Amino acid sequence: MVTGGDDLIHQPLRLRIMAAVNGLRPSQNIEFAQLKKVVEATDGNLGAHIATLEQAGYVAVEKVFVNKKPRTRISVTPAGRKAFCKHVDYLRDIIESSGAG
Amino acid sequence: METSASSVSAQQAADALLDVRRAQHRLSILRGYEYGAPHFLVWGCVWAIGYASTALWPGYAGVIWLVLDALGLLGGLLIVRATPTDGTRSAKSWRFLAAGAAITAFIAATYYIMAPNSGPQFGAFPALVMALIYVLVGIWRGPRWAVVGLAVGGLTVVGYGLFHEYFMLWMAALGGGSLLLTGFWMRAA
Repeated sequence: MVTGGDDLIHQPLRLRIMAAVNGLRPSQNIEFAQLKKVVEATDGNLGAHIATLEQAGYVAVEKVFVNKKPRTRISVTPAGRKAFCKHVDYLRDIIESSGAG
Repeated sequence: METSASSVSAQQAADALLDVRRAQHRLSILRGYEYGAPHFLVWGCVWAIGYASTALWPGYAGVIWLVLDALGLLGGLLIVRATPTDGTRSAKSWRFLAAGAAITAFIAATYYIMAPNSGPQFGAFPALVMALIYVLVGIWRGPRWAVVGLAVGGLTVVGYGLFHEYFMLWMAALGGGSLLLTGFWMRAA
């Protein structure tokens, strides 16, 4: 058994959130509404998991006003990117060590 | 029930990685729509004005399209430069201009070798070229590109075949209109 997975990222919706924000370039962010479509989640569910990832220091959340409307923008932090890549490597290791890869 | 990351089976790991790839693919498609939308709005205007002007002043078609294509490329360049980037703005601008030059050169070379015999042939060919490009992009980057490609290609052929006499006006309304609608449709994605 390969060890070293990240329990926080492994939760399916948080894994999808991290996959999406990790796909952004370093200076980019994604708006809450677009992230909702990417990860196919409800507002409440997505908000809760983003808060968990923010508390862990994996994502940064910025609230701005565009044309007087509130917008929430999410980006990945360097620590989040590193943790996500490490977790993906861990998942690949599991597949390879099982002989299925 | 949540699975602990320390007790993941190979199947669960494979499913998780598939989930990762799907999320990244969806992001790539939505970002493609987001970047494509303003270009469709610009070129929808160019087509509507260009084909309508060509119908009104066919003798000036060459000049009309030269000016409008230059304006379209300039508009596209401004959109590319206004798009938030990670410092690759000049590379993207260069690629955008290179793509525009390649398409223009291809159409000009084809006209040179297989000169169009009529106004509708002159007007239909660039529309078919763009329709093909949209369909090809759609195969990799999301169905909305393919839909606009099929719509523009189909409308061009139908207009050429059934409304030959009013082809330029047909293309101004339905060709330009399709691009404009696609711009709004992609912006709403």
